[in-house]
Amino acid sequence: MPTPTLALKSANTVRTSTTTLADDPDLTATLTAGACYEIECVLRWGNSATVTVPNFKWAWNFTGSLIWANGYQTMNNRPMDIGWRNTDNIDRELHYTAACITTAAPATAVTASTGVWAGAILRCWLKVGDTGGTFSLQWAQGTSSVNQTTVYAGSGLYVCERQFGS
Amino acid sequence: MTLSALWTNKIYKTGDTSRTGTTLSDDPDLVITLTASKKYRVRFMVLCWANATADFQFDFKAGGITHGVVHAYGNLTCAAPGSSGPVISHMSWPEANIISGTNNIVMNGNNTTTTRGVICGTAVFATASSSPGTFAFRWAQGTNNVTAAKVYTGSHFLWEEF
Repeated sequence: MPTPTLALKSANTVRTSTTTLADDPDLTATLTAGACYEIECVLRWGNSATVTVPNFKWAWNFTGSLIWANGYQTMNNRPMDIGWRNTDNIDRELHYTAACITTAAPATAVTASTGVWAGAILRCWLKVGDTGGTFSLQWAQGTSSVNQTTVYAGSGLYVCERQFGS
Repeated sequence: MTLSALWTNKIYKTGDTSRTGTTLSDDPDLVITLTASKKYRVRFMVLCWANATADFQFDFKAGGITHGVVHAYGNLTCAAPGSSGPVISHMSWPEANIISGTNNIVMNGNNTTTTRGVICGTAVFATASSSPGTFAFRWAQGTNNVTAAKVYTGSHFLWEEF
């Protein structure tokens, strides 16, 4: 029986002055050819200074081939006063296809400000094709800034093989 | 059947719990005893209710964790069906808040008992090498009221230990 995995970040990852999506060094997993998976990322990210432009974007990326994929996100996508609650946030849903995942697009841009951070659950279900590979959460700044964008320790990527109808 | 992770670790409330008072305390059922040096993923769903005077207050608390995140979403306004709500709100807690049991949230109540609140989400965290405690859903009334707030049968924790 396949064993589910949980990759949990034990340290923050910081990026500056880049809008180029790149794999998070911790939030990755190896997927096997022909298998189906349920994947969930619980994410916490933030910025070191006030920004008024989209400053975080993300995408799934898979180096192998996919038969199908779909998913959604639930995210605090507005500045939050003390980092755990806001009253005017917007529920954004993102539905993507296998092609979107293999090309690492589309990315979603959200805004935060000084001293606050946002949280999210990103989920997807997929079936790998003939080629297995590395699945990862990619992220970058939405707009390049010298101010740090951070994905915090404690964020995790859960991967579990499942059986779905073909 | 070859499905993995069939939620062998699960708690389903088999009876409603009613409370008055504004002091947060663990739900008697929605509590997990943690093991040292492990990683956890906990999926939760809580069905709850409080009247519009009392409101419903809640958070998550864990002892002996080193890093983690809880992210939840729910209909915090508990609005009546057919009205402008319910509003979907999203809430996150980092390990510091989970350990300290601070940053509780108050969900607006509703005087219609069938208009219930729901809180869903996932927690991921790692436990320290010694003396882990419990991971619990805590709740209370937001304001004292003689009509008890409730957490209903069927609310649950499903978790995996790594």
